[in-house]
Amino acid sequence: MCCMVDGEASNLVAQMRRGVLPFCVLAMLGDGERYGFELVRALASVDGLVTGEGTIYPLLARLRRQGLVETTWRESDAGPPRRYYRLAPSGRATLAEFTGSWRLFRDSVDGLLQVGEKGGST
Amino acid sequence: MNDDDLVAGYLGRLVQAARQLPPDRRAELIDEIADHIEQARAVSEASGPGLQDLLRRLGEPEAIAAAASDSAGDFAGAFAQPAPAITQPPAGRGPRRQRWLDMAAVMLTLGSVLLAPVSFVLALLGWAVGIVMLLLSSRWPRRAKVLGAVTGTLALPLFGGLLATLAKTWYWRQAGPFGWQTGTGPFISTILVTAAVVAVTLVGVRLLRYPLSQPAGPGPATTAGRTATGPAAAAAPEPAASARASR
Repeated sequence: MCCMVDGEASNLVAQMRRGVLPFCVLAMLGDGERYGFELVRALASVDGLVTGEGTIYPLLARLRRQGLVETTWRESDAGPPRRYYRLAPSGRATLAEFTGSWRLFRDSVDGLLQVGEKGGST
Repeated sequence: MNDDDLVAGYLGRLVQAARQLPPDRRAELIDEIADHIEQARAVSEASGPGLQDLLRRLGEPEAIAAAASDSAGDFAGAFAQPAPAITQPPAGRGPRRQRWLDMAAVMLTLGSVLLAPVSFVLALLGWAVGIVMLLLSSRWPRRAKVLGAVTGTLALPLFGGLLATLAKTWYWRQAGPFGWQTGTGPFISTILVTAAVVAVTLVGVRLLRYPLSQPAGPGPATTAGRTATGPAAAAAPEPAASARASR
């Protein structure tokens, strides 16, 4: 019984990770453009956010198709041309919306978890 | 196994794993992963253990392909409810404009030959503009684009030539009592032109029947799959997404 609940929680965490990842990508572009490789490396270095760097590319393609990010190709000194990503206006608006909702959500859940912890310890 | 073999093996596995993706997305994904590897190798992780580590960090090709078919679903509305309203303008305004542009692309590619009797240069110009528009459109997979371009290109000399001959014969015979229907040459030409018109029309109809917005492609299938497996929280935004897709 306990294991079933365990599985459910880890499944939920995986789904939450998948759900917030697009917004994390948008957030990383908040202060200016980055090129794909750099973006992927930076995201993958955040603990527990992604399992493999490669899975970020389909996500970037999706954001492009949705018009939330814009891209430009530029030549580089080393290696092949680089695709630079930046926030589109709609991406910036989406990010702002998410930031507000996320803080509310996080604070509510944190509040409840704290109550739960206090109740459990006494 | 040398380094290039290692990379080729990895990409080969990715190609295999990505088979179920639409052709343009598959090509895009493979390009990007190949670019990533190339860029990492250009920076430092050029060979040996460094390369193996690089591929390990990228993840299993099967997982990458799975993520690509996964991202067919709509996630923008997952947390921020107002997001659909924001992403809607391109989805709402786009299709109508795209519909007209695509219609023009098909008409010009396949129909410019009709201008051949008037001016071959004009027909050629229309055809060229049509081909460019056809190839630039995001609506069709590569195969459909090739079909349209080849048909339009074949139609130009064959059908255009016939049309021009027909027009000439018709002008020549106009003075006669029965017009152009009397000769057998024009009769055969008429059959050929009719066949060409039917073939070209079939290709045109086929192209215009392609679904408009590719991002919303496999919507219903993934929606069904997710609602069946995922908990209520994940399923909730899905109806909104599919409703938008069907609009």
